[in-house]
Amino acid sequence: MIFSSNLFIFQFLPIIFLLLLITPKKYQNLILFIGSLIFYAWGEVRYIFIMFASVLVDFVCSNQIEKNRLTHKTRIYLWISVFFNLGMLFAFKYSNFFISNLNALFDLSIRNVNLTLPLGISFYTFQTMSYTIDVYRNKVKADSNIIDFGAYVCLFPQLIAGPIVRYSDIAIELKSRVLNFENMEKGIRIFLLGLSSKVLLANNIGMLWDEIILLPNPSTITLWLGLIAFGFQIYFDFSGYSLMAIGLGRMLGFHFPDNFNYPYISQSMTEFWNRWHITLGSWFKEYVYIPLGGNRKGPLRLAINLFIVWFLTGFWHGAEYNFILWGLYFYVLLLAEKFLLLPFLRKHPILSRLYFIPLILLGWAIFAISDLSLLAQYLTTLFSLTSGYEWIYYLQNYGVILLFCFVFATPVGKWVINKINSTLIQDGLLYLSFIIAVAYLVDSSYNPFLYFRF
Amino acid sequence: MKKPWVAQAFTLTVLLLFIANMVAPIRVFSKFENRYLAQLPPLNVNQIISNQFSINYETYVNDQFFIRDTWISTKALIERLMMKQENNGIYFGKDGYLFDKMIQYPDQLAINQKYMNEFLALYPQLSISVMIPTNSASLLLDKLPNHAPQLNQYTWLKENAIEWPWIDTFSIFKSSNNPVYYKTDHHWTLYGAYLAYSEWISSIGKTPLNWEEFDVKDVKNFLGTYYSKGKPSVFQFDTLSYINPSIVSYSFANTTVDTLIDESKLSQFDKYSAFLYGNPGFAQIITNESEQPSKVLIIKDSYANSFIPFLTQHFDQIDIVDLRGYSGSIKSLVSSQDYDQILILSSFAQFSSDSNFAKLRY
Repeated sequence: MIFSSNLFIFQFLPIIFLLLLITPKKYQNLILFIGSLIFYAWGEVRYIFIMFASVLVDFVCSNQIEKNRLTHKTRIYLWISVFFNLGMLFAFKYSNFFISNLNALFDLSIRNVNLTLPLGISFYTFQTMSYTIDVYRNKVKADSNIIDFGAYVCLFPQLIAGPIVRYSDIAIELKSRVLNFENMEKGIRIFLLGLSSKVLLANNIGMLWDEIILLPNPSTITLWLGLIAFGFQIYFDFSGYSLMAIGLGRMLGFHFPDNFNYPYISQSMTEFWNRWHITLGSWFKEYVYIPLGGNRKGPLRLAINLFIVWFLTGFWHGAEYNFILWGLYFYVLLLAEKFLLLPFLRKHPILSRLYFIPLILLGWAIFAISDLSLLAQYLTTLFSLTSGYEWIYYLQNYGVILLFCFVFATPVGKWVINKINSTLIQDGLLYLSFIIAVAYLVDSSYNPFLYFRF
Repeated sequence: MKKPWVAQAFTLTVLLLFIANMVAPIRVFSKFENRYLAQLPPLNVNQIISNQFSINYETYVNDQFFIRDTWISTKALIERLMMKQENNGIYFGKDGYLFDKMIQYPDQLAINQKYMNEFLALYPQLSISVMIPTNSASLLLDKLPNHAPQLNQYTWLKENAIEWPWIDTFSIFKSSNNPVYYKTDHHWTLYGAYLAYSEWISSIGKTPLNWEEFDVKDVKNFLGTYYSKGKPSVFQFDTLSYINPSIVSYSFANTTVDTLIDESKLSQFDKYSAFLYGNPGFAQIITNESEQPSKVLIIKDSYANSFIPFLTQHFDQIDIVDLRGYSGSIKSLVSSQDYDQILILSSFAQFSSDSNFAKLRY
């Protein structure tokens, strides 16, 4: 199930909240666990077993680590958990990538495995893995209640597309939290912001990108416009989904970490990655970069460590070469910034953006186009002055939505809303955008789910 | 008002719609959208395991959503406020013209081209004609929104159809003074059908009748498929014209009538389906009008439905095959009947996307 659907908003949501309201505190996590399983199984029933396995393996491993503290056994259980989580991720997400590469390299004909990627597997394997590692590091205590732990692993708001919520983030709230008006109020607001981002901004601007990528003879201006459209789409889609998750979590009484903080106002790639998908960046930092030695072992090791982190970050986004390329693209830029550019960029607010914006857009081209020959063709046209006038039509059709995207991708939108200084109008606008979003969901000819690769 | 209220409004809205969706009566057909709405899918283990249930159930929730038509109109209004010149693949052109948007040829086009070649190679001894009218957007380029991207279907035909016994309707349409396409529908007008008829009849050595010789009747307030798909908030009605020549019999699907026009449909929304009673897989017209006994086979899509009534003066047996609903063999049909003419008449939109053209070879 996805949040941005009438089924979720008008059936799943009222039912689960009504159930929680009448359920005694003691059984609330059970309701959440079962509800989340239904949420997860909705699109692909069979993968519910993966969920069970995930819960069971990490539950057993973490509790065994807890029980065998200070013995060598802790290591064994840690490796079982890491091996299991990465193994699942590898099996479902990467096996076809490696099979087709082996086939191409050695002229073999191993058949592809016919598996659809379980929804959100890249997110929850990271979450459960970090939990067992944290238990091993003695940062959190292993949860001895399998229902509570199951509720954490499957928790429907954060199950599918981030933010990556670590067990330590919500350990206390998992045991005791309150369904109260204040959380409800705050949560609904955040949810509505996210819903509007996804349905009104991301979906609408996404149609422009989807069309431009199909044009047989696009002009240079049109292709740059396409990248702007994609940049807005992925931002509002992803941040909108995170906001919906954070809002839903809050409604239930959980405080999830923020995931986006106006990434497009950055002055450097370094800053961008502190503002974009924040929970993923800090996950890699905590569980890959720092264990590798971080920046404490000299410039050469730093360069190698960063290479590993960015290779993995790219590859995490999808089992295709373009995602690896995309990760390494940032690796090169980040390295250049670290050793050379950063002091300059920080001092020049305008020049830095002339550097940042075109390069982030180029990055999106690499991200969005998996077919490498098509990518090469796209990049060529971006820099060859191909003429054409479709962009005039597109600007006229998407001008209003582009303006909205610009306003809300920067702090301008917040500034304007705060300036209004009337709760009636502010809430009215939010409610209006909810109603319009529902209209778009009822007549939903276009509502893509971008994270099927993640 | 100082106190925030959006959370309460949201909760109330969700609860009210939750209840309204449960108690509102199930609708079967939407006049507004001119289509059948999804019904509650059957719930059983197979349906759940194959994930069909979840897919169908979501469609059902959306299709049966409380006051669905109002939500759709709301969306259309917002789109208009955003100055969108298209919706759901339909361009809102100038002078009330709606067009279907095509920016890429479907993959099926090349496949159907191959099928057509194979079909023509099967019957070298027969007199076959191929007519593939383009959509209105290819003809009325100046009526499209400014700089709107659009493939010109005629370009493809000029390059590819010339290998076939192709009847080029585009050129005569270009010089026509009367409208040959509807504003709100994907079909050609009766006049467009007439021009195509006269071009084809001349090409097979017969003499077409003059336009004035037909008894043309008009039906006002016609809204077609482009309208239903694009749902423009501003639009102009079309006038649907038809002729109803006298025939001996028209038989299709165990039914035999003595008219080509289903007049009951003319007062309904989907007026175009009055022609030939829609699209049966196989149908046969017997006339006694023709100068000498002659038989024709028309393999067609719905474009032919307004075109075929013009032929009654020239043939005494008109066999009609619509590949979408035809399960017989074309080969045995052709060998059992001694056709003087075979005409393949399909719109470009159909020809470029319909996989049923595979049946041409069997």
